[in-house]
Amino acid sequence: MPVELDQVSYTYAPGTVFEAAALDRVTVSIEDGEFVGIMGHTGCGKSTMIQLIAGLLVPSSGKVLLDGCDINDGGYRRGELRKRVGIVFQYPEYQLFESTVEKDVAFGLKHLALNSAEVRSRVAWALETVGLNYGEICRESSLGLSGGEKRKVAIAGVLAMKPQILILDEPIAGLDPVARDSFMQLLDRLHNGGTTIIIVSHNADILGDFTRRILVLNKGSLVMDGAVKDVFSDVAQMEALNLDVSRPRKIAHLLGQRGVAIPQDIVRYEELLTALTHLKKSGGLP
Amino acid sequence: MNRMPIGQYIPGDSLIHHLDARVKLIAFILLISTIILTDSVPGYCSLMVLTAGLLFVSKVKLKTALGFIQSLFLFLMVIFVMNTLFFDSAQPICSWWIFHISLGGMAQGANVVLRVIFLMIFSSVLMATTAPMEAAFALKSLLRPLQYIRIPTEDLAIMISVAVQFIPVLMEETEMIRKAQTARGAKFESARLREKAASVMPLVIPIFLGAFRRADELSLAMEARGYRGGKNRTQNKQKPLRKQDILALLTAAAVCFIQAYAF
Repeated sequence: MPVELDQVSYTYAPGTVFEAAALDRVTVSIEDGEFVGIMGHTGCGKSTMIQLIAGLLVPSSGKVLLDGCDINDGGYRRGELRKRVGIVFQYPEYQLFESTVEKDVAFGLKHLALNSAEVRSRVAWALETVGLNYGEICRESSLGLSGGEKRKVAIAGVLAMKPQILILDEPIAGLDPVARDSFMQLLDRLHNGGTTIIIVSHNADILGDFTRRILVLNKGSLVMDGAVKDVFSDVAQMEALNLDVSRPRKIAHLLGQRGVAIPQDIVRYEELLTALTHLKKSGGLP
Repeated sequence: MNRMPIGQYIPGDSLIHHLDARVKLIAFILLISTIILTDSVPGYCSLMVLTAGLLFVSKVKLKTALGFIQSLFLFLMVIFVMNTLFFDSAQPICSWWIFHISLGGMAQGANVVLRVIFLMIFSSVLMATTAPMEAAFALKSLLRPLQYIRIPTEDLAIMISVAVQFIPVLMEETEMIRKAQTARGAKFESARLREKAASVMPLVIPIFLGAFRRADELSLAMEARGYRGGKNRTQNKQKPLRKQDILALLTAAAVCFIQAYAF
């Protein structure tokens, strides 16, 4: 189920003094089962773009196609869209409201016409997937949990819908390194299970480790789109856009500048280590 | 937020935008008195001329100033009908049970409706041309005399300005939560009233929680920066009234006076 944006523009508050173009004729296509990262400076249109994909905003012009169908066409069923595309906003823990964790996770399932056994098994699956113990936590108040647990519960609420496309807006902001890694591994498992994952993040290391492709937005336009190593290859341009490349890539770049013959398509630490070991063996390092 | 909310401040460069907010508040009160003192056809005609002049000078579009009509239409109609039906008059056109339709009643209804409309237009202009923070400061300085009867005006002023400052933040948060719940399948888009009512809880609870959380954080932050109650706080900007402010004030007073005596 590919997602396609076709010449999509979005103007904020048209016809008022607050009018501003948030997205300008963006055309991009994301295939089934991709793991895509979106980067861009604050206010570049990242959030607008993912909300357009999720059908929460309607483009001012252009089309958003899901499986070849225009999701903003009058005939497109919204319920179907909600079931297929899950979106996790920044600080999802603030959207919890039910009296128990179980009810909160099951909130979206109410609209899917499932029987209660199915609902329960989905809730259990979603909670276990995010690393919470269903039996222990399901009767607790979702508002009494710790911040990290709340976030997990909120994400479980989106996962319970079993979306085919999962969009996440800065999901790892404010998480400690352990929680961050386990969260990214969770996304990796979902991705291996066939879910398309679109993640917005400023963390170039994380994107370099997990995603296969990166889109870079600047002032509402798509300025780069390609494999992670290609996008990170031009360190100067990324810096001009106020963006980081992954740290291993940066190290390779600095070594290269000092005349060390190290490959410039390094993205991850393992690659950097391999290259350095190789260099040491061949005597390329002082 | 694709539709502009009613009462939104619209940054601009008109004469009215640059007036001191205190002057605008007092002039607004004077104009309300003018509206209440008006009850004749020539009076309303001159009010209309005045409104046109005000819109012209403030560069507020008529569409913005009349933006409230749509949401208040039913309310205005009810006022008109009630007045028409229940006004006690010596010569009703027709009577049935407790209802008497009379010319006097219709006039009374029209009177009330017109007053509300003019009031709303003037307040739209006030809100469109005055930044919320300026309005809060103006209110604070106008309330100052109440200190002498032991009303904590400084605290009130802080409360008002904090509330005003947080409106956009809370609106943004509301929008975000609405979207998040929509994505989880809440049906705000639904036209069915029952579903619409059921979808209020997922919106209201997180908004209240968020507001409390912010209030907690803000009070901590304020105390950490040395806030110890409102007494004897100094103000960052001290703006004396300028010539045009005093002129505007005199104009408003003159309009009020003329309108009250002429019509």
